[in-house]
Amino acid sequence: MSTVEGVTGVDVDDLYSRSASRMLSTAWMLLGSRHAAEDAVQEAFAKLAARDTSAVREPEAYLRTVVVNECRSVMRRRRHQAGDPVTDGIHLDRSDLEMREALARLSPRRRTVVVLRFYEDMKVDDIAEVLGCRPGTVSSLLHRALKDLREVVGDDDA
Amino acid sequence: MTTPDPRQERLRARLASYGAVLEEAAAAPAAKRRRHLIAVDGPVGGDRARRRPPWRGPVGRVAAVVVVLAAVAGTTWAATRPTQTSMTSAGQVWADDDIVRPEDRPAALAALEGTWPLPPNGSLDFILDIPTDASISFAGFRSMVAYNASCLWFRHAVEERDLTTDEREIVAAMPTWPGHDGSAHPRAVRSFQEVVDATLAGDLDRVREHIAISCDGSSEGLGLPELDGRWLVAGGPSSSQGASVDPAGSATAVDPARVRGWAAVVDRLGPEVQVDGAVALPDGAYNVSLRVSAMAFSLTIGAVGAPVTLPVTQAELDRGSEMRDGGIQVFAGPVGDDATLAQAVGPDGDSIALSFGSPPDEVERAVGDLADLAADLHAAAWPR
Repeated sequence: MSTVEGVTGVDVDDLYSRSASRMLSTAWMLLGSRHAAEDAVQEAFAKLAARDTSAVREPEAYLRTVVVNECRSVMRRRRHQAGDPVTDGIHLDRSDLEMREALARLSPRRRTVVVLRFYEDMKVDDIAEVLGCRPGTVSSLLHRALKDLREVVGDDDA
Repeated sequence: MTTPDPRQERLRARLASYGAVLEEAAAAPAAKRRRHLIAVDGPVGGDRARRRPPWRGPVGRVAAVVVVLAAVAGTTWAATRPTQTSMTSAGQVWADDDIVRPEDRPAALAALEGTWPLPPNGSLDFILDIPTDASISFAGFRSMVAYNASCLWFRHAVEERDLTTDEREIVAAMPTWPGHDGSAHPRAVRSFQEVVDATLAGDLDRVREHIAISCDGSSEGLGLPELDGRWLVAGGPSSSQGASVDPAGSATAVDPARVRGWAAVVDRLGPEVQVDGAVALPDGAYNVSLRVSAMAFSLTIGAVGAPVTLPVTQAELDRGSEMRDGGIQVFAGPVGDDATLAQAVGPDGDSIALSFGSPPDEVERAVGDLADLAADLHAAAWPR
């Protein structure tokens, strides 16, 4: 049987097939680097495989939490280091480049809530659950983040 | 029913467009890496035998600086110094003052590994996992290897209880390894010698204490340089025990929140942190200036009612006030024209205050960032 599972519970192999690319793109947005994103997602899957996940009912959501927390850990470690996003050899049009720059200029927490709210389409309460804070804090971060984004991408798009 | 905000909908669309490009680019490499992701029948995470790294993370980086300084201060290590060891990549010879860049570490480690005595199944590979962007001298790198190797031997002694004759000789020689030979910090060397003596005498409780304070403290990111050569340590993020250890190795109990606060500070501020200066305040708190990259932070950690050392009014702080998770209240605001202050106050009255100079046009942004940082620091120091 080729399926790889965690200690118990989630079918990690299947989850990887379904979710890896999406998780990588989310981590890429948060970390600004393909290499860092791949490391974070790999670490998240490794942690997932080592855990008892028998009580997990929504594997994708659980995985997303693990990935986001891994990314936050990376961002905390490198806070105050130069934050220029890495090109990573992909072609981005002007709009995407602008969005990449705008995300890079946000503080890690604000970037996280923006990506989770508007890319992962998560509800404020769910974001608060992931970040371990109150919904009001998420709303406050979102408000500030959108204000920051308007300075970069213009008033029309944020 | 609420109408979606069109600006937010456009932002959503743009993020989706950007994300689609990233997702497409990510897909192929992800499939390739998948083979190495999860071991079907074995430990998760990799192809390398792992022992718990006794020196890693931000504290390891700070400690590495200490060791580098010790090495620069005059440490020599002729007895077991690798001679004419060539770099694996270019055939060059490592000299003590050669610079080891992060990308050079595998070659530098390879140059030392064959010459270094390690306990059975011991590996120094984890040194390559220490996240750092810093370059250090080869002498400093060698000292880092020595420190980690000594931790491996102490662990081995505790696990095996009875060392072989050869192993006892190696442990007995450890005080002559770089960083332990007495030229840089005699008091620290005396402490290390005591641990070695305890190991050889079978006083494993003393050895375990050293492992907990020094090796584990570093690996958990909770062993931190404090003032006057003292170190703050704790056994882990949830530990109820904290200690302040002087250079001679004597420990006194401290509030673990203080340790966690320090850990959070160093973790957040990164490897470039340097202590610019410190002032002991009358109530026992410290006002420590930390220089981080281009920004200068001033940090105050204290007990109830930590002193605020900048002339800021409560009204100014209240403008940036908000409640955070766990009953933490954060105040943040500009102070005059060129400084910003953020203070986080916990539900029990303990507080952490942060301040730094900033140009007026960046104050507003800095206030938000500092409020986030202060809240994180406080949440780490006083977890729910």
